[in-house]
Amino acid sequence: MNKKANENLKLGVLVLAGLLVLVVSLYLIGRNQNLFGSAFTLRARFRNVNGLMAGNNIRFAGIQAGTVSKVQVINDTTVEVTLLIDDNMRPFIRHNSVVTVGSEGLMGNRVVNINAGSTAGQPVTENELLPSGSGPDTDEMLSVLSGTGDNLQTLSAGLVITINRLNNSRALWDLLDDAALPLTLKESMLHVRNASVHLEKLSADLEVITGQVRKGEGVAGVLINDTAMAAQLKETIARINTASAQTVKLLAHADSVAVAAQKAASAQGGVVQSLADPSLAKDLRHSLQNVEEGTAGFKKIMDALQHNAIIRNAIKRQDKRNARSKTTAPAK
Amino acid sequence: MRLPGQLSQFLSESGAIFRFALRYAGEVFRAPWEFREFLHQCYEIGFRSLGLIAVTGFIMGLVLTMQLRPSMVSYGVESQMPVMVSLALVREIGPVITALIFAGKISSGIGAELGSMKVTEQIDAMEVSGTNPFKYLVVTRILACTLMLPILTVLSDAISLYGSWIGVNIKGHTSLKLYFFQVFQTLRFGDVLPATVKTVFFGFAIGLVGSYKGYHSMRGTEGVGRAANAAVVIASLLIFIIDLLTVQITDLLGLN
Amino acid sequence: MSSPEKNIAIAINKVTKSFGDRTVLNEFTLNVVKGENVVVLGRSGSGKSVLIKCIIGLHQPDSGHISVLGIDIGTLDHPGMDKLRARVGFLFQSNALYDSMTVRENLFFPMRRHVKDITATQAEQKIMETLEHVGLAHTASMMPSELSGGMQKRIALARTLVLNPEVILYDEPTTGLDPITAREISTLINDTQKRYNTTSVIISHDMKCVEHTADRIAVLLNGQCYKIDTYESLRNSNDAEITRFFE
Repeated sequence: MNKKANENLKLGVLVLAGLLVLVVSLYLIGRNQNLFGSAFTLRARFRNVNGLMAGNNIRFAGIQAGTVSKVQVINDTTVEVTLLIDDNMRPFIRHNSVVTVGSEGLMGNRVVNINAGSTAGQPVTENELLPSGSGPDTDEMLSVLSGTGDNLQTLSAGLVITINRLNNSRALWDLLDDAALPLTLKESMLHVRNASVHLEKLSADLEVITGQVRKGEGVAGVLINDTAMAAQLKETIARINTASAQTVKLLAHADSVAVAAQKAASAQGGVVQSLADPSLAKDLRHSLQNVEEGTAGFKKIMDALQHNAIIRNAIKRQDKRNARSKTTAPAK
Repeated sequence: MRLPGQLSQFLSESGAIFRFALRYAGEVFRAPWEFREFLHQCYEIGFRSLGLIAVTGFIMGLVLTMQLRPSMVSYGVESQMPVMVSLALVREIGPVITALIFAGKISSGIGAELGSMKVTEQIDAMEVSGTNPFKYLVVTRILACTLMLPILTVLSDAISLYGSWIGVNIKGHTSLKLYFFQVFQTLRFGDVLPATVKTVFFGFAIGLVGSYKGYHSMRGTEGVGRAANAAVVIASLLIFIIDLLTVQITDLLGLN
Repeated sequence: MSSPEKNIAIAINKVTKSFGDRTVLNEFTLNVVKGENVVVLGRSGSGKSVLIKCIIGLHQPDSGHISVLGIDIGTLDHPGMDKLRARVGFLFQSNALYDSMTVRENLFFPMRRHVKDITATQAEQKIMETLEHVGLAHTASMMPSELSGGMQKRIALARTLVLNPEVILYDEPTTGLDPITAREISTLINDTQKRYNTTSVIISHDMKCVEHTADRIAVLLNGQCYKIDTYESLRNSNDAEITRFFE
């Protein structure tokens, strides 16, 4: 019966191999589920465990440390999770470690994370209730993300409205399309420049006159001795003073207008919301008009001054002296 | 009450198979036991199927892995391959495919063998020779199927997972140790135990149907052929029905 | 023949057996005396095989009684039936050799249950002795499929003989064999009867075999024992039902 013995041998090998594979598999699975190794339990309470189940993994500092053995509802706001943890981890888990519920990857299984507490804490004891925290919850992340998305949507809707309004603003386009505007501006600038040149000349003249007056020579010096003339002159000078102050003011005004005009010119390419205001265009035009009127007024005063005989003489003399000093040598 | 022919035939056949199963249950625990013949059948049914089961298991693991790979890659979860494959193999594909192949080989084999023994009066001869042919032929075979299929399935699963590891390594690289570590990281008792328990029932069904069909085969060579054929068909069908029942029961028990 | 009761090996009393609507045996009655060869003659499908399967308990008669070697088989439980079967050999029409076993294992098979307390050497001795009787000692380690039809028949006979049966039932022993082999088998049946001193019931419609082996012939007709007589007297009968077998 040698054949029989041979058969039984092969059969024995088959059966033992099968049972061995089964037993080893079950042992390995059991070890992963902490069913055979020594383990201890900890507890943690949450408001929401986000679908955590018995059997989910527990990570301590990212290392597999055990499995969830029980998830139990304590009351309407509290869920208690019992954690079965490998004994090897016991010395490292402090009683101030924070337990959070997370997930393995974005869509993966739920996992319990135990984040190491500060070293000052005592190691945990059996069945201790650990403080729990809310981990980076994907649901929450998604809800925040969705809020951001909503905002973005509102913003872009607003932008669309703004652009539409700009597109449809007649005043702005009229302003930008007005071919006469740059011309008028240019003209105004010219007037301003002329006015300032006159002003410079005038002040130079005034300097000469006051110098002569101080020395008591020339027409001015004589005139000052004449009290009637002095009073008249005083008035004239006061008027000039006022005029020059006005001129300074006017120049400042002109400057701001120029800046605004420049802005308006550059706005032809870009988008400046304030230009959409049709009243601005009106203001601008008004200002330009003022500047023009202002400079015209100033010119009138200057002309009047020049026609004043006394001052005209003084100026003539001055011109002569200037010519003379040019031929000889500079006086000072 | 008159039932349509096919329905009444189906019902009476079901009844007969159930009676056959009851008779088995009655005889399996009663002495005398044909222990030597049982071992011989274990060898014939178990060991002699090992080669076939091993080859199909290996190919199954390899092919499953290679088929799954593109989808896993497109979802960016290529590293989860062992998880996916081990669950699919251990829970469902391994037991069912192994059982189907086992049914194809063994159920028809038993059907044809007992059928021809019936036709050539060997079963009567045993009866006359003072041996209970039901114990000698049927009980030993059903029991051998019941015990051998789980063992073959476990081995087939292991070989399939090895094949799967090779499948992973065709296009990627994972060490065998890491691969099996991931596999056992994934598996739970709830995956392995119901799958193993259901193979016990698969084996029982395969042995029962094969034996029933052979033991009650009609006279003549054609009857034997028909018995063998019907045995495979009914056994395969029963495997799926049992599979369906198992998944419902494990679900109810919360093992899923 | 001191007392007729004791000398009757098989008593079949008003046995009726039907399959569905078809009545195969209808109050069949036959007594077989110890040491004689009785041939049951009948056309195919007349219920001959059913008759001897009732004798060995493979079929249960619907009514009537059969007693074998003084034991009413209707009253026997399973172990009792097995015990009786050890004393009754049965040669199947299709030989029914276990084709997954060698010749030796085939012969050993009946001994494993029926004969307790037998050592392996004793069993081997008995097997070889029986194989020698049928002239096939050299085939002990062969598989049945390697043997010819006649050899298979002889092995099948050897298998019934290893238990030293008191009664042997032959179901169409020469059917399907060539005339020469059939003749050899018929001779072997007679030799066996002389050597083992058995009582035989032979079912056949092969008249050569019947002539060669029968002490008495029972004609089975319409489920009943139509006539019991010797070969010679039946041969000379004018009954149309009987002469038909001799044509």
